[in-house]
Amino acid sequence: MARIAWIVLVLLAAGTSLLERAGILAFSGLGTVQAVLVALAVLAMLADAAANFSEVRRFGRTIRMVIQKDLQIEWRTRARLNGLVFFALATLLMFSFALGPDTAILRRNAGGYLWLGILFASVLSLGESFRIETENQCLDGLRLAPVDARAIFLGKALGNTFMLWILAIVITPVTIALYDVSVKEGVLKLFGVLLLGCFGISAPGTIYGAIASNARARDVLLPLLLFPVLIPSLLASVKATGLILEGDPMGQLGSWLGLLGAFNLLYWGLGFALFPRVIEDD
Amino acid sequence: MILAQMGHVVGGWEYVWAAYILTWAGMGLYGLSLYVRRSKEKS
Amino acid sequence: MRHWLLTYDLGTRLALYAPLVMLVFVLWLFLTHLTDPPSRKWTWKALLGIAVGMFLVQPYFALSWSPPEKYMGDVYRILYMHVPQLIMAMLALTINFGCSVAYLFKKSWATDSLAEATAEVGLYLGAVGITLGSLWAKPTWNTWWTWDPRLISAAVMMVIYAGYLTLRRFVEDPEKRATWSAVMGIIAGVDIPVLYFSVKWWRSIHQVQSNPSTVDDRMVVVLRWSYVAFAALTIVLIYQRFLAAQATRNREVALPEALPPDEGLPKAAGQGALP
Repeated sequence: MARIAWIVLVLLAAGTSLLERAGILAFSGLGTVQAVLVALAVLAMLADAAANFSEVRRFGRTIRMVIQKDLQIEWRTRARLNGLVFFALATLLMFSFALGPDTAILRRNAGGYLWLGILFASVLSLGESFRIETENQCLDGLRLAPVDARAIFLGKALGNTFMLWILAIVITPVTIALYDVSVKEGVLKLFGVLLLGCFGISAPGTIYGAIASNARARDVLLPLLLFPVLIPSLLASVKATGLILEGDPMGQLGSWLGLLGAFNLLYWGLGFALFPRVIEDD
Repeated sequence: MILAQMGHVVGGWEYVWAAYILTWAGMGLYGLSLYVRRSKEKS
Repeated sequence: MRHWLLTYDLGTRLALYAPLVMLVFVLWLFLTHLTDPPSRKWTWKALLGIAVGMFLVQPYFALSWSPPEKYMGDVYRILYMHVPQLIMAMLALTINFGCSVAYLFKKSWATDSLAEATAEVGLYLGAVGITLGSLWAKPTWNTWWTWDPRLISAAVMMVIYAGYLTLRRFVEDPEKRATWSAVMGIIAGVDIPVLYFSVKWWRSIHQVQSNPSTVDDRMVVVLRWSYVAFAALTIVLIYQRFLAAQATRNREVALPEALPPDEGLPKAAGQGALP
């Protein structure tokens, strides 16, 4: 009962904020209405968690285990992270050669190149994330275990986010050097935006990664499916990063982060709801 | 020819013909492909 | 004050409204006989006949009967083809979204086949519609393409649904294909409005939608005629594609041994025909 309540409340709050952003919905009490919705949602969530405490604990434990498993596999060989970093660096280098020696242009578009590098590397990362599952049929093992598939989604998606975020942080100094930019709004804000963007790539990426890893031509299919869907997230991430690198005199950062946040909410929600159907097998 | 500068376009019938031919030919070819695929399924 | 339509002679008025009446009648017949295969056969043929008839007559109305526009001259006539095709494409893709959602609630091969049919027809109509828009843009705005929210959203929509059809082609197992297509259909359908609004923010030239009252009445009539013609044709195309998809589904489901297993997964056990 409480679960339905908070899901509906969150959807209402998110929906009204999206409509408000799109300019469709606007009336004077909107802010208080949204605050009330969020407060009620939090209360309902707590009630739900309290009622189902052991289930919530198991859910959390599953997420932690999946993340731990992925990170442990990764830490043992560090193959994926090394490959990702070198690939991203190579991409950044290629951009600087392909797009000319004019440093003014490079500096202005540095955010775009950075995010394109992360995006291309993410295809490798997501593909690899599910390849380790299909090899030795680990995904079947996961599926047969009495855990909630949605916990698996959260675990995998958070693991992917973390990998991409580490990658983004590692290639930031190179970007700064290569494109001759300075971080005008602070490194902490930059890392925050990078994290939000990586969240945005991981949510649809995990779903499409799971689908593509079981289809033919998985390496071709994943970018084809993923890239168009990521366009809003890409736009917002690049603009936000650009503002942080070049300074934000007109205070536009907030609205871009808002778009990025809304995108994340939408796709993490969708992923949470749809992932069980993706890996079910009956 | 086509004058789009002064806010008034003159001529441009070749574009209109191209549009109509493209639509008709496209519809025809697509319909044909549907028909061919149906007959292949039936056999 | 005489109604503007009455300024035309009876012949013209009949010519304008008779097809619409016929179409509504045939659609009603079609929908009420959906469960009756023999009646379905002739109703869709009647729909096709009406559509073809209207298309044969439309060039006269579009190219000769309707007057040149004040600013766009004669090039605007492309819009009689461009706008209805894109509207029908969006209608088809909306039906696809509906089927995707419906499939996840209740599995059914019919829903899956309809999803496949509407995706393909929507992709075709959208692609041609965008091309026609380009043909219209060149003489009017003096460029083949522009970074405008509607154009970008339309183009990306085509790429997304091309990806959808590619996914369908690359998955062998019919049940998995149906489930994954449904998931992708939902993600794609949700992404289109998000994309449109983000790009609108990101930049802000598309033709402001002409309010029918500000244009010549004859243009409104021809546009509506074109809408009806394209609607009839789209229904026929979707229906035929749907039948083809159903036939393929029946063939696949009847012979599970004929399908190679998907990579990385054990062969799904017990495939059978779903309702």
